[in-house]
Amino acid sequence: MTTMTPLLNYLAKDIARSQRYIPPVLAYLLVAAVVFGGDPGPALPAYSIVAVMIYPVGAWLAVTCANAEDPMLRTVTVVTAGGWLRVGAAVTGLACTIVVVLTVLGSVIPAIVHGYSVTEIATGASAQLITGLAGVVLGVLCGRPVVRKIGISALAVIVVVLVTFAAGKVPPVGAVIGLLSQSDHGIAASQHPGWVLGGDLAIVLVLLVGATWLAAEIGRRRD
Amino acid sequence: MIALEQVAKRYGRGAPVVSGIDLELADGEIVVLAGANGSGKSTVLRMVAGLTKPSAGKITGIPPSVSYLPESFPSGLRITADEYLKAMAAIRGADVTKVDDLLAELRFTGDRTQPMGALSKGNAQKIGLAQAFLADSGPMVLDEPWSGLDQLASDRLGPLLLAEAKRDRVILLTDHGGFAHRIEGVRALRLRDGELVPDEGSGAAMLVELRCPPGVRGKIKRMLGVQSSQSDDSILSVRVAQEQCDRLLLAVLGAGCSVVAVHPAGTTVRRP
Repeated sequence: MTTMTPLLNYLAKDIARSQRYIPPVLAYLLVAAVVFGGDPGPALPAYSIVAVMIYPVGAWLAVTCANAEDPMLRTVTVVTAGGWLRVGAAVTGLACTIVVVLTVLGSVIPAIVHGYSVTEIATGASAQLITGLAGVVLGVLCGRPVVRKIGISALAVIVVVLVTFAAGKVPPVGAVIGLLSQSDHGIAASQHPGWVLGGDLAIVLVLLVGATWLAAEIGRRRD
Repeated sequence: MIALEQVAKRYGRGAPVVSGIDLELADGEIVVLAGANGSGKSTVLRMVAGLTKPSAGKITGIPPSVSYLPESFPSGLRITADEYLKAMAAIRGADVTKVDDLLAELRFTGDRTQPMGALSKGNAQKIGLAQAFLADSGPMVLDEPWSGLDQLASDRLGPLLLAEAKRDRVILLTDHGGFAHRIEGVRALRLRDGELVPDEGSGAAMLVELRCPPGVRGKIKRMLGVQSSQSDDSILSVRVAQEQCDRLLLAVLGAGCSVVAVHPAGTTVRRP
């Protein structure tokens, strides 16, 4: 067994070469620019809008990462790397990395421009991280090897995203958006923001592991 | 040793592609799977490579390092051959320069610094083969390795595979072209109606009558494609699969036998 680094390198280059990560990244940056350009108003409701956006963007990125490699080459990579789970973990890791980069960009740059407090930055970043990673969970389950046709992947992502927002304040995504969107003057201590964000982040991390495992298992059974 | 016990595979709710597969692959053995299109050869290979889990039964003894060549290695890729081989070697922790000699021997004529999409089918296949030769140990699972190769490369591949097998590697492959049968000591199996049977070719057989020096008969009985043999006075009658007849004749003549008659034996009764 070798380390994961060469596998991550190879897959990252393949994703970079495909250039398909560009549309979701641009979509996120565009929304962030519109929200934070000019006068965004109070920090947390503004952050909640980019947190909404990074959810489907995270899903889109994860599908992109999962589908970048040619399917036949993927079989060679899976055998070479030692199984679907290792390749799946690498794909999840790469999608998460892009989400983290976007989260940092979308939290720190507005904070510098508008002079947000450390608490506001931390809250905004946590919210985007949670919804962005939840998007990765969704994308991992809507890309290869689970869903092979890109049209069905797109449809599944759109449907789940709409259901998530229709469902209201359900953890992890709905709860976080709900917490931030109404907080014009900061979040009241009675709402326990630390517990809500920490709990939702924990839920998302468990879901990430579960989704990665499930996708690998489906790959082994189906392919 | 890799062992498949009562292995079956079905995709979704469809009928099983293969079922009741019992197969033992000993170290150093070359096993070639024959069978009609869609008979499940690729599925068996994918299961041994660890890509696919059997729906029933179990596979034991697959080591962590397996080499795999899929059927029809893709063309139209953006990655260059060099980058690809380097990446696969790095993931394995293998030395990429190992395949330089192999590619030279297979007469790879493409540009390794150009995207693989620019390679001809044969040259792309050679890159696919090269990545399958990166590992120093572990089974090699090769789906139609001769596909798209020119004559020269085809002739070289057999000895290359034999050399790997001699280093105690299991080699499991499929082959439509009959190239694998030329490799010494290869075990031929056939998938028929989802089940594995010894490969006796198309079923057509030849009856070869020979006059042999003493001690040769035992050797002939063990030859590939020989279905039965009987002695009658000084004449040895050998029933052999049509596909293997020429090979048998060549071998027995070399062993000092004299060919008395060769004629079609009609359709054979297949062994289970």
